[in-house]
Amino acid sequence: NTKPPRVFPRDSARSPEPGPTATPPMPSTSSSSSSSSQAQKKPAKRTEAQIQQKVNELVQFLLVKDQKKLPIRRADMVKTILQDYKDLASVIIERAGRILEEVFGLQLREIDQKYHAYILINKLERLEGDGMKMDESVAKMGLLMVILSLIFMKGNSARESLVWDVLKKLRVDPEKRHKTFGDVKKLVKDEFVRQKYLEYNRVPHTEPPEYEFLWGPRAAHETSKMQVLRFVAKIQNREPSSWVSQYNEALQDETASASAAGTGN
Amino acid sequence: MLSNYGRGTPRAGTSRQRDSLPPAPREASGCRTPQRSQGIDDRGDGVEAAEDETCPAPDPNFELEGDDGKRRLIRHQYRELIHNVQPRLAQRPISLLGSKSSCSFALGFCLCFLQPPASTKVEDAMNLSCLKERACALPPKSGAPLQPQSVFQKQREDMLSSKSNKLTDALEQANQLFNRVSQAREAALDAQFLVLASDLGKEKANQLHSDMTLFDPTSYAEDLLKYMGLNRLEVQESDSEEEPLHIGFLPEDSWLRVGIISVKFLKWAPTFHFLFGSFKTDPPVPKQRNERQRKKDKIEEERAMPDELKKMEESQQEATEKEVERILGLLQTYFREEPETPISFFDFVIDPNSFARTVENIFHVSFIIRDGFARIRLDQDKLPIIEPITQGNEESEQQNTQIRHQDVISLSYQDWKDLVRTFEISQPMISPPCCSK
Repeated sequence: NTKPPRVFPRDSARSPEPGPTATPPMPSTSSSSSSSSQAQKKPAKRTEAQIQQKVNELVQFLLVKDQKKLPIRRADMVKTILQDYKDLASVIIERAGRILEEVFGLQLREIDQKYHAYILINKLERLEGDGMKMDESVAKMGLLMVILSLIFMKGNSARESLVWDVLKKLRVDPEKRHKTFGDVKKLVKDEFVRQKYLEYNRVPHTEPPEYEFLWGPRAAHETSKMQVLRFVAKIQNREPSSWVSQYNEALQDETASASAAGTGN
Repeated sequence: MLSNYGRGTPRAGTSRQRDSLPPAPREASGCRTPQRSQGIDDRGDGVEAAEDETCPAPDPNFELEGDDGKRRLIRHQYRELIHNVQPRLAQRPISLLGSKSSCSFALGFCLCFLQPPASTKVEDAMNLSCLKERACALPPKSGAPLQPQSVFQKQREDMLSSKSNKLTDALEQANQLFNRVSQAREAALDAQFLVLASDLGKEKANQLHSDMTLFDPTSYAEDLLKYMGLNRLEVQESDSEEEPLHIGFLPEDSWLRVGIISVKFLKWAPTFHFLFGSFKTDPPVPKQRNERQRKKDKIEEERAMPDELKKMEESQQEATEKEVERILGLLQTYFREEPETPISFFDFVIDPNSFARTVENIFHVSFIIRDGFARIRLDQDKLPIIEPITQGNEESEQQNTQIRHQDVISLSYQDWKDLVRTFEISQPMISPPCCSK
């Protein structure tokens, strides 16, 4: 992984001038000599306050951007906020991530290594009556959770027809305008997919074509198989372990992610 | 399902050697003829025995035809199998005896059937075996000449049902068929069948999976409805008529209830919002929206533009024409009142209150002059006058038309002011159009 070492953070940044360790490995020697000399000159001019300013701007940018729940691309951060500080992007993004974590209880996670797309997830548990705003975006999460649970319970993929069948039973007709969700088809097949909660694929070798829903990468970050199983268990008023194979799968998933987190730190 | 498959004939695993098709020379050696007859009369078990037999080298002509017919038969049987495992694709009915037509529907393999028919003997044998094949492989109703979609759907459901062995049967049939496959065309059909069958198998396996764990989407939906606060006693006003399924009343906040519990299982970051509201902040979407709007606008403009332009031109032209006619009418009334006295051009066109109106008047009068309803000439004081063309002046008019020429009149604001002052014009002779109406 090309992430800068975690050691760098505060202490070195607090020093009056960011030392050579503060600069990320971006202005590599492989680039042409003129650009690398430019890149080396620039960081020297920047004061700690200037960098902190950029970090703060980025935090605000991320918070506002997250309203749409679309993955935020690193390229957009550079274009809108970082601009001339592109060479320090990794550092600034990491520091912004720490502020989000310490101040807002949010975590900045990279969900796409290739296009460097980031999302914000909540680090704090939601409490009953926590006074958070309850609007239609929360209702949308309800719809999403129903679909995610269907996908998981049906073996990690659910045919489109099944999803619509269940939603119709819940008085959500994809062909009609819903009073809470508006255009449901668009919300599920377009918005949730763009937000990376869902994936929508054609089932191979189907003629006429049939489509299925899968979990998108964001779903795997924001929830887990076990959480979804608990949701189903709560709705159906049963123990999660009563669905044997799903329970085992969720357990495996949990241990795998725990060990991954262990090695990650 | 897997266990069912394994339980099949012991041949299933061993004799189906996909990677090594029987080589072509073997086929040409004439071993096929006895096999053909056996294959047709007693499809199935006789085949293997026939393969091991050494052939008695019969008439070579008949042998070729027989081989051809046999391959056709195999292809036909494969198509039947494919039809069975994917009924929805093959929606065309199958006639029992028309072996040629019934084969040609399947999966773009129709090309295979362009060869001339073999001897009638072979054809008859094929038909006979088709009958047999159908009698054992298909449920009775599938032989009916016209099958609605629902029947196909039913057939597929039969195939998928955990209680039925139809998929296994089909696979076993294909296994037996493959023993007699000698060339690529048949092998391709076999592959096609396998793809479809394995897709069915996967679906079947999925069903088994969910059966085992007892996840039932229907009961899940019911429980969700309960959670959402469904009141079955109250009747929902509008939609309930069309859909008898939807009985009961669902409160407004039903999805919010689900949402509130859902967010507990999601690490969903609450969205940022301003305490006292703000501008609508939607950074990523507006770009697209703008583009869409622009596109829409463009389309609308393109649609509307020609219409609008025509109208504008027409209306402007009409307005000018009307105005010219109106002024001509005015001019003619003045002439009628005092037929002998020419009117000073300046008096006529100058509007002392408006320079613009003056210019407009000159513009309109120019049409009257051009069309020959009046003429401008200089009087003894070398001042321009406008006079009517009456019947009596016709001759001179003709003269005039011959020496007709164009003039450009320039009139500056200062000129206009001076003219108003010099000629002491206090009232316009041509009233502005708005007031005249």
